[in-house]
Amino acid sequence: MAELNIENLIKSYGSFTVLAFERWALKDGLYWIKGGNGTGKTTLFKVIAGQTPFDGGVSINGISLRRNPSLYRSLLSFAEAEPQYPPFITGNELLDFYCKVRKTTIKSADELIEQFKMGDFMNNKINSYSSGMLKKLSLICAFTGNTEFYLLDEPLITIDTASAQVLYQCIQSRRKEGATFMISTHQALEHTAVHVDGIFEINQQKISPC
Amino acid sequence: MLSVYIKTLAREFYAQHAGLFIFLFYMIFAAVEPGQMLSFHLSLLIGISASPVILGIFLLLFTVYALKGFLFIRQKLNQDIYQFIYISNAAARKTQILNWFGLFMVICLPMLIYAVMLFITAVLHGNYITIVALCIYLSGIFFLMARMTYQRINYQFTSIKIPFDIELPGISKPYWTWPLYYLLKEQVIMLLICKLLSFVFFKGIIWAFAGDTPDVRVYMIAILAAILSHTTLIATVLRYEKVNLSFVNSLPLPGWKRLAHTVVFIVLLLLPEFVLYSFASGFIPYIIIAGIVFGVSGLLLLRLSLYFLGDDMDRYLKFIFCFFVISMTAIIFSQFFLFSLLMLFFVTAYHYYLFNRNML
Repeated sequence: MAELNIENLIKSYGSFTVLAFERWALKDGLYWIKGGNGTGKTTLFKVIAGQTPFDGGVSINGISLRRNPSLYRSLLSFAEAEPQYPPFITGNELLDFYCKVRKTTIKSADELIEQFKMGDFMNNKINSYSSGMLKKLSLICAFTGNTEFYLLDEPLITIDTASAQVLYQCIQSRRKEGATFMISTHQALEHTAVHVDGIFEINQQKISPC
Repeated sequence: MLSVYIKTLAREFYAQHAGLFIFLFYMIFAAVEPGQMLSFHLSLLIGISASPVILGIFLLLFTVYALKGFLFIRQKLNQDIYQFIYISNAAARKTQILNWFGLFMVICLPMLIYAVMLFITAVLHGNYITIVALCIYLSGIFFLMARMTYQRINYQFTSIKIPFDIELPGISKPYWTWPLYYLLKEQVIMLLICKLLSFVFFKGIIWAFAGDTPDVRVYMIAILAAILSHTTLIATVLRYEKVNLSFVNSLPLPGWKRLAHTVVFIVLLLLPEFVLYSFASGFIPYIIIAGIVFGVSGLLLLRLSLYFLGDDMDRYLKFIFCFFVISMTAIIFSQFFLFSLLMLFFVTAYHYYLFNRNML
């Protein structure tokens, strides 16, 4: 079970403030983050993932990103909306790196690779991947290892319907193990496939339930 | 069109190669006593214009410089922010080629000025072979670069064969090797030219300052030349890391490991220079350590400065100039080791600051 706490967040790009709110907390569950283009969904995800500088505090289960960055990052897994990786490495080399960092074996990802039908491509260089394959690789990497908090930014774009079902299964099984999910998507989540515990919207730099 | 090219492409070229120009300037003017400078350069110009072999060496150096400029422009034209340049393909062929011709003349200006002085010397001394060779070479190389760039801008739909596409062995590539693979796979010509220039500067400094007794400061200046030759390369690698390795920022990699990966990369990048340096300095352990610490901390400082300067190449140019002046002062007063340790301390502290601010 993972709890997220954000306090006094201010995130600006130059003089343009994207996010500014005093407090936002999430308890165990699956949450859908909505908002139009440019409202700051990806920025919020990057703030929580520790990928971009910001003012304020973020913590998961009381572990602060500022005070204990490595331990904090070991608790979360982030799949970006438009993943970018070195084009000259293979899918397996990238996965191997993730496994080493997350202290797990590449064998543990075999089932995921098979489910996403990526087995034939994992030894190919990333520059030969289509955008859908790149997205599936990023999801395989995100679900490799056991983390407690998952950030999935637009996980449904570019993947086919069969892969979307695999993704829903992954989410379901990790939810049963107690993981918390934050998902942003413009497409509606299938309520029969996953149970959404809360929907939030970013509007005018603030995040609020809707 | 030309004024836009100069304000964007040429300006960025000169800003990114500031280190190289500082050393070119230093080699050409400061390596000779002020009283003898005029006669030295006059003799050099007469020597080049009179001897076909020396003229050939001069033209070879010109070609290396021009190739560096050409590849720089090619690289920029592949970047998203320079896609607006492709609008120029609506202009007439002659206009386009003339504009690119003009841009490459501006890019090659430092060498071109020397070539013009050489031309005047050859006219005054009646060296007609040099006059003809210079005319053919200069118009030929500028036209060739302009024509190839025109081709690139207008025929994007034709497939391009990558020169020197090195097929690296299919062994597993651990994370810390990825920046090196990036250079070997995607920036191989840039890497080769950078290494060639670094080698020329390194040997040139040792040759220019060679005395009867070995002086460790000369070797340190040579290492400084090697650092400054890598200013563009280090900026290119960082840009690649910011785009293709940004996902690492959300992974639980400790700060010390991130720093260690960068240090290993820099040591491997400067390995040929360190080997040359060790041979030149006679394998004295203290001098070898001092040189390696100076080389690594110097390049680390330049790399981290790009975070502070926010990829602003004008400010990067000023920073490189300040770095050059302070480093030279530290070397001249034999304080290079203390200076290197201070730099190392500063870059480590700044690395952790950036890491804790989620900027790495």
